[in-house]
Amino acid sequence: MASRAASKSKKRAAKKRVRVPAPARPQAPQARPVVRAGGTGRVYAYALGTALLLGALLVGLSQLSVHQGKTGASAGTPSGGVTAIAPTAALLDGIPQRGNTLGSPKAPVQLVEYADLQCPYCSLYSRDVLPTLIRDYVRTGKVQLVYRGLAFIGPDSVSALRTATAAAAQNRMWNVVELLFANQGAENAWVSDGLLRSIVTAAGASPTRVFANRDGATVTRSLQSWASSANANNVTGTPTFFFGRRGARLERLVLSTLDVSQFRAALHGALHG
Amino acid sequence: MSDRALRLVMAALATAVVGIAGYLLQAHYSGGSIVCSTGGCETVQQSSYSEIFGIPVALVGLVGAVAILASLVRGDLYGRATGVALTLSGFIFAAYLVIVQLAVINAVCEWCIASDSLMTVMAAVALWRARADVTERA
Repeated sequence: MASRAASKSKKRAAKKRVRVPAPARPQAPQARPVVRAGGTGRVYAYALGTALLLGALLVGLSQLSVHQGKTGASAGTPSGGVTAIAPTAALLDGIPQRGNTLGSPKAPVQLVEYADLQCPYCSLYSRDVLPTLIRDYVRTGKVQLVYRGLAFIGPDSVSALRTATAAAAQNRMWNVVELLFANQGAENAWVSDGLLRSIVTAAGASPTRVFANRDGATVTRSLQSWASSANANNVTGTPTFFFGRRGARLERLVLSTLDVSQFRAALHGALHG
Repeated sequence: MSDRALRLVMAALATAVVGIAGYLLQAHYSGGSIVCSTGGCETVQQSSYSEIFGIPVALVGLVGAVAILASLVRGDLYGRATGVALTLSGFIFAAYLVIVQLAVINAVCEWCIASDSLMTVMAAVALWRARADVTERA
């Protein structure tokens, strides 16, 4: 009995010993060793650096591209000695163009202009009135301008209008038209392929595409359509304007002078009438 | 949220950016109109900021979103770090484009804003994924 009791007490003691926590052993290395942790940090440092560089590069390239566009425009006398490139680009920059229209397609009022690119009064309107109309009515989405070209002054009218109309396919017709008015010269003695090429290039359109299409059927159809419309509306001189709410019958704008106040009155009436 | 779930979220966001950028790119090249309630989409699309040396900004966004999708294929440290690099650079460029719309062009393109917002959320998710690595390291 005594020996059994002694052996039991030994077993208990042994169990107790087992339960005694083992002395603290030196810590095993972490699952992620120090070298790997440092590697993670380095990888993310590179990632952040790359992000900053790439972001700054994109912003810088965008700014450089816009700046070069502007300086290229202001340097702006390509081969044909074209002037007013920068002001024209600034005047039209960011305004929606589609075909022969300028301005939001949702604008409640339209102002239609019949003009010949050789007509001096059309050029005056372009210089003295149009910038105000664009600033106050087109940029604000109130009015959409429509250009319907006529070519009755002579052969230069035809080649200039065909070129401008071909640029409509690239939504650059207004840039070409405004540059042509700004560079207008002596009747039937100023339009050349060199000048037209320079103007188309300065307008941001592809001269290759424009020159390939300017004698095509699409351009011819547009010219015929505008001429028919002018006949139907009894347009006998240029510039002639019609205005009114979109979808309604347009009304002829009777002008005593080419003064912006007369346009303002008409457009104000159409907008609020 | 598990890393796998975060990758799926990022994949969905990047796919949405691919869709938006693809739509804007198609409109850019076709000359078609853009569905737009603000009326500023075409103004922004035809501004000089819509291209970088002739390359449409929408194409830059499309390539960036595809690159982000590709980075999600790898679920390891390098995949996460690449995601951080791409989305943060995208966020920087997106912030710049928002500032340009508001302060320079004075017109807002809702598609662009949507894409910029998605890029911002993706950058946040990418940083959240990276947090696990940084926490483990600490």
